[in-house]
Amino acid sequence: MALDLYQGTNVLDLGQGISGPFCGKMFADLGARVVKVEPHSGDPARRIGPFPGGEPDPEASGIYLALNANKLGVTLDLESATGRELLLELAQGADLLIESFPPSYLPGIGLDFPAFQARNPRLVMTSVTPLGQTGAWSGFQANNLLLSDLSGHSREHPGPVDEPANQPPLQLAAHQGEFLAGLAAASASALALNRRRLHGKGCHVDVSGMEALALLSQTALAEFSLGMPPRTRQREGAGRQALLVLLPCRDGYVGISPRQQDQWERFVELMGSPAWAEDAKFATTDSRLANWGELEPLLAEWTRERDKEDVYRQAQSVRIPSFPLNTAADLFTSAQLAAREFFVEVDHPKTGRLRYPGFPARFASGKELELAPAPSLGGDNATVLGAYGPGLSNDEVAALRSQGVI
Amino acid sequence: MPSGPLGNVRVADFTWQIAGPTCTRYLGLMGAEVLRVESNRRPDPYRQRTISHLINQNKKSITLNLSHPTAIELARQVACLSDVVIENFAPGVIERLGLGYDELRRENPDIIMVSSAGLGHTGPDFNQVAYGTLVQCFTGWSALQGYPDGGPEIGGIWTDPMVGMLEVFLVNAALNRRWEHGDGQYIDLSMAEATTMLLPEAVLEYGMNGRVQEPLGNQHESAAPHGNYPCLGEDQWVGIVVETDEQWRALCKTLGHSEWLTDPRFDTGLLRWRNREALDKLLAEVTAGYDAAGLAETLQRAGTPAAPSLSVGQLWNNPHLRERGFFHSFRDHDGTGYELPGAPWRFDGELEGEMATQPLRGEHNGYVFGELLGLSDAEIERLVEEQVVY
Repeated sequence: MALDLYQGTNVLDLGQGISGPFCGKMFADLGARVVKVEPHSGDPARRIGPFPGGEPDPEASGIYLALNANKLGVTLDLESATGRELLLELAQGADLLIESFPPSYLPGIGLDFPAFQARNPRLVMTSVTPLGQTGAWSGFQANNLLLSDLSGHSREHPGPVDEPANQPPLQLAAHQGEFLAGLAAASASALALNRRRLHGKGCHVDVSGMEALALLSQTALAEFSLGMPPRTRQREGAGRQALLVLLPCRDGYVGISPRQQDQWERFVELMGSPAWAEDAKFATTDSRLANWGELEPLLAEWTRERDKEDVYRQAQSVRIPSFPLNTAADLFTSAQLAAREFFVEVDHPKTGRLRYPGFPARFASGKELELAPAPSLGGDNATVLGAYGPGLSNDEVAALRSQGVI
Repeated sequence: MPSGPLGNVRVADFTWQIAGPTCTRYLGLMGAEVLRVESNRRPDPYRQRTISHLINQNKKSITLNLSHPTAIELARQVACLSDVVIENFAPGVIERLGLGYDELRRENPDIIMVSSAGLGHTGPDFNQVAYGTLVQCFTGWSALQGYPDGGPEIGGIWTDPMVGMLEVFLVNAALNRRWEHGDGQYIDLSMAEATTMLLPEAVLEYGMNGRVQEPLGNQHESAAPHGNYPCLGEDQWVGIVVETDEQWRALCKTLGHSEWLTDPRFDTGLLRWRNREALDKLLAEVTAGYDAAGLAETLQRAGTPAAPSLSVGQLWNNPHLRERGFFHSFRDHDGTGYELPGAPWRFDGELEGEMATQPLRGEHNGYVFGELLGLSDAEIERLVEEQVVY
């Protein structure tokens, strides 16, 4: 059986790109009925990719397909009065509306929160934007790179570098900033739906990507607040807090952290107790960190002869924290992920069968994630505008299509 | 009416380190009564660190020495008085203590329990020693993080606080289900899978094309310019993003370099992307004469996305965040004043949460064991002497 925590909840997802649609996906995966509303030009995520064979195709963008699986798709022209009226009618039956437009856009076309609330006082409306609905910078645009910059992550996350002048602050890889904003929006929406139970009515939820990401730098913020000096981006002299390293292997890298004395001693044994390990420079946790420049090549000498999976298995067998640096290829062969059936196969007409990342939790109920392929552009117009929402007939839907409203 | 969205919810918090406490901090902030079960026998190492001021605020603290059977019985009673139990012990520990889901639901059938662990609680490798940043290696995330050609980076701590936010969603989803249908829930959460869930591009790319994605640094898949460029001052940078022709025109005009608009190397989006190295070099020479925040504001007003790359101090003093009321002031038990960030959401413009300082260890022993469990002062005193409450 499919996951059902949000079975019976109706979501209208106007989100475009990554943050809004990821918020909608969290509800869709847990059983909500999510209707995705796109403009005629389609969600910009349809242009991001990856694409089969690298050939751009709005119906085959990998990130779009993953973010919008389990949703129904309609197209609505919100610039037209009829399109706006259809949206308001759809909102009448919704519990949650998600949107990610610039803050002035919806109010500018007469679709501010009070307009929705007038039709449906129980509606929760979540606006997830880079900088929030209020404040001097609220109208500013920001994608993953700029969110990484605005939240301090570009400097904090990579840690110190050798040449700060030639190594600029670095964005969070693979759109993580936008995903995290969407995750915060999902949590805020879930809170607001529970809040509705106390207040009897919905509310407008303002989620700021900058704030969501700033809170992921919580350690740096707390330390700064309590007067600790901020860390520098210059590696030299920055010091290391613990022995936690990536070491080169025959087939990639392995992460390893023999940080405690007993872990270190077991690691030395694993390496066959080489003579250099007797040196006083490497005798204590502190001296190993102080002499890291000399120590790293010695460790690398041993790991370089081995496969990352072997180093990881050997280290873990003596309780030394270690994991291989996995790529997507490694994840597909991971026995752990296979045993937990993490990947879910989805058959999509444009791409064939592909494995998607699944839901990261298992439930004692035994219910599991089921994934239906993401909708084609406007693929569910007739169903959603007919039986589900405003109750239009097939002829009426056809007429709207010829007028360009859907 | 109870205060905050979770004003009628009680949480038994057996978590430690970062991920779990991050979640229960938000739950407490949103009005839940969070009862943090701590132990002086096995103290949480993060309780000694500065971050504790943040991740342990908005909670009540009780101390129980869980190596003692009486303490386990008290912990069981606290859990059974709660709507939600959250824990992140090593897999198997909570069951061995006799506080597992099957045990608790016998008395409290609709209890919600969220257990998180590095690789989850099942599968051949569930028992591996897992530190948050190392888990990032397993997930595919660290292999994508870094400068192009510069080798991968483990990166700072990401998975732990991210999982804390995910748990906020899961707890609220389970509460919603319980209020609608009356059923409880056990949720076995894998921190590694949570991180991989956020990497569908890399997973689908490999499935579609058999291609392993490499670190892109600050580059965009198909647009340029896209990067951080040097500005006035030491280690100051501005991020600039151009994805459309309009943004490109606005950038050239704002910087006073209209001649770039007629440069054949930059005529279309595709050409700008192909010639991005030359473009980056030109741009960096110009941005070096500007203040990062000032230039970003000017560019944004002209229609080109841009932002200063903020240091933690600049983030702290950022006027936009200040105007939004993101930071809240406190006074600690010892009288120290400081500020902490709230949450990344507002309901109708309000946080609706009460920000409180972190509790002293065992500060609420009297309230929980006395008021909630009905023990007398003398009984509690005896339990303290016996190091059960400890």
